[in-house]
Amino acid sequence: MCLHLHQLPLEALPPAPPEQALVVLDPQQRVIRLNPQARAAGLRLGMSAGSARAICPQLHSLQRQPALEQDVLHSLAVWALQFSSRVSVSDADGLLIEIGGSLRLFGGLETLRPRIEQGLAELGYSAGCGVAPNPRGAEVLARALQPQAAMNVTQLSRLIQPLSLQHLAWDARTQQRLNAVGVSTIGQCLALPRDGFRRRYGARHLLDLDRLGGHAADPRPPFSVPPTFERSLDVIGDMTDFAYLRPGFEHLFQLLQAELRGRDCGVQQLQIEMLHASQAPSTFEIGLQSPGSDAQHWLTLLEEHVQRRPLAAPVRAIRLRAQNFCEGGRRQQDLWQTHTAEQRQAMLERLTARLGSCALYALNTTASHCPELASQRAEPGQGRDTATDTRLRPIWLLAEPQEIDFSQLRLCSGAERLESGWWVRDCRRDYYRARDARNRWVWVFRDHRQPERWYVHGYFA
Amino acid sequence: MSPTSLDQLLHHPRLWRGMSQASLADQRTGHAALDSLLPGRGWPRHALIELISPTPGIGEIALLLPNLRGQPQSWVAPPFTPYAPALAQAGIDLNTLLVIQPPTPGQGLWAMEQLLRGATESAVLGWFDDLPMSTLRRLQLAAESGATQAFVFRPANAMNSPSPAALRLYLEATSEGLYIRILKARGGRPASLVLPLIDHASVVVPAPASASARSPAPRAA
Repeated sequence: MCLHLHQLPLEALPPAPPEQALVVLDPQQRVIRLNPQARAAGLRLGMSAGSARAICPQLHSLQRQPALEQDVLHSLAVWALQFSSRVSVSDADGLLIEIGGSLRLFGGLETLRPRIEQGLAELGYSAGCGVAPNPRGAEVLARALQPQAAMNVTQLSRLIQPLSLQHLAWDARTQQRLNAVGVSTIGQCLALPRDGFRRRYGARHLLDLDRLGGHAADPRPPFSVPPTFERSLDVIGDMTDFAYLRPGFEHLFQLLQAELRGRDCGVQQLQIEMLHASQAPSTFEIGLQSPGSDAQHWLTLLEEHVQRRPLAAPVRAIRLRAQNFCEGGRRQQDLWQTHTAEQRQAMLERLTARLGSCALYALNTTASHCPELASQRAEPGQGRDTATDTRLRPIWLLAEPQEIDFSQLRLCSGAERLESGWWVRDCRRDYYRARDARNRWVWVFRDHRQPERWYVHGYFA
Repeated sequence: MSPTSLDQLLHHPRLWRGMSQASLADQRTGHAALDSLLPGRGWPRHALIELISPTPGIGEIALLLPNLRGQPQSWVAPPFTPYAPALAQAGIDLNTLLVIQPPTPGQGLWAMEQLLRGATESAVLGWFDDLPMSTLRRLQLAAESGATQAFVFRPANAMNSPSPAALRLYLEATSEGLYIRILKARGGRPASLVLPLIDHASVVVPAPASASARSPAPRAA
């Protein structure tokens, strides 16, 4: 199967406000792509930028960015890996997906083709889709926007016979020469004598025709996956309100999600940069408890971050970076939604994003005789009960022991001597359980060095 | 029907599913004397429960403990640091316990509301000094939306202010045990009782061998 992204020069650029006529110009300042609004305004392909502006004064024109198109094409190739293990990039604007081996898994072409087309549309790209038994044939059918699939060579040759020569994407000179001798369709071209064709138009084009007919091998280098994700978007107009930046981030997150799904993995760290005109970029780090690939969840987390730390200056561009892809990012969907552990993790991430990482903690027990050291803070969800201590301890422990007048205490237990090594913390105390003047159960001690002074260290709540 | 709408339907408080352990009856408090005074014979479900006490550390956690053992729970803005060895002894699962110490009380309320709406916890405990009526109402609505038990601890001056909570208890420590006065119970009557919660006298402590050598024996018992 071949996907031909005809509108890639337009779709790779940042999305324009709706209702705005937009054209893409080549280095010679000619219109090479336009959006429906521009077409409705009367603009046509091949116009010069000047005449286009004369027709439509509110026109928004952008320069073509081939590097950006390549980036998009590569990310789409990664996305396509979810449908097949063999994907290759064809030319500057096409993707070849070997679907022969995937048809059974996805339930046939009738299911797979709409699924691919729909997925592409959700990402915001449009493509012609061609299905043929060989890659060259698929390319030609995709360029010709042929909706019918060719399942074997006979069907393919029937479908390509009437197609115009331009769908072969040969150079303009060869096309003109063929047109000049009255050859305008691929069928006519195939009917020409081989010897003469090779002499006049070159062996390269003959080989191309052979590959189209399935008579010559057509190996394509498989697409190799880049190890990291980095993509940025320019913001049209300086934005200070996150609400306007949201669609851009949503787009970036969805691209990353698609890429991760293609590789069947997830990320734990996302780096988000917002570039300003006059000051250093503001950076946000989104950390996840476990590898994930959920664009909606990331967007929620980013919103919480921005709530906590509002934007300092107008934003010019946004950038998303992710590396260290790890396995196991895919969360299984369950009809009954019974796995609360994952929901709890998502909740933890939201709370951390809003309150900061120091505001949340779990508790660990440690084997230590010094009461202050026996309880330690831990990362949320990492609390462990490692030390088994059967002696009665208070639920609330005061950070600093409070001195108390002994006359207010009624001791209710014998002494418990707690000592810890001088190298940790010099602590040598006799602890008692007692009740204070307000009838609370308190944990009191007196220090060995000052036996006349009593301290409250905790409450048995 | 999409999975999300089905999920919403299944989490609706009014829906009871035979396969789950949940029942429409209220959750037992674990203290028979208290259960007998409460209208639903237990802590009301899908409702905010207010616990008012003049000072922390009087046995308020011991009152809730039967419902907290082994459950995923969050403590929002506790007055002191919870002490891990004691929690582990009491049967609280340290692995799922989450303590939140928010930078401001407003953020603590936000966190509590999120936790109640998220329905990921079995119980959420929150300590707040100042709760205006509107905030209480928000918490009450959040508690109604999920199956999480919501306990709010407030100081004694909150006793006379109105509240939308389904159950309000006043707690005070007495020499016999924890004195509990039911200030308000939806569908029930005000009442009071004393629960002997912490029975320290019965716990035998092995005396350390060198206990008496350098320190005098306690003067009172």
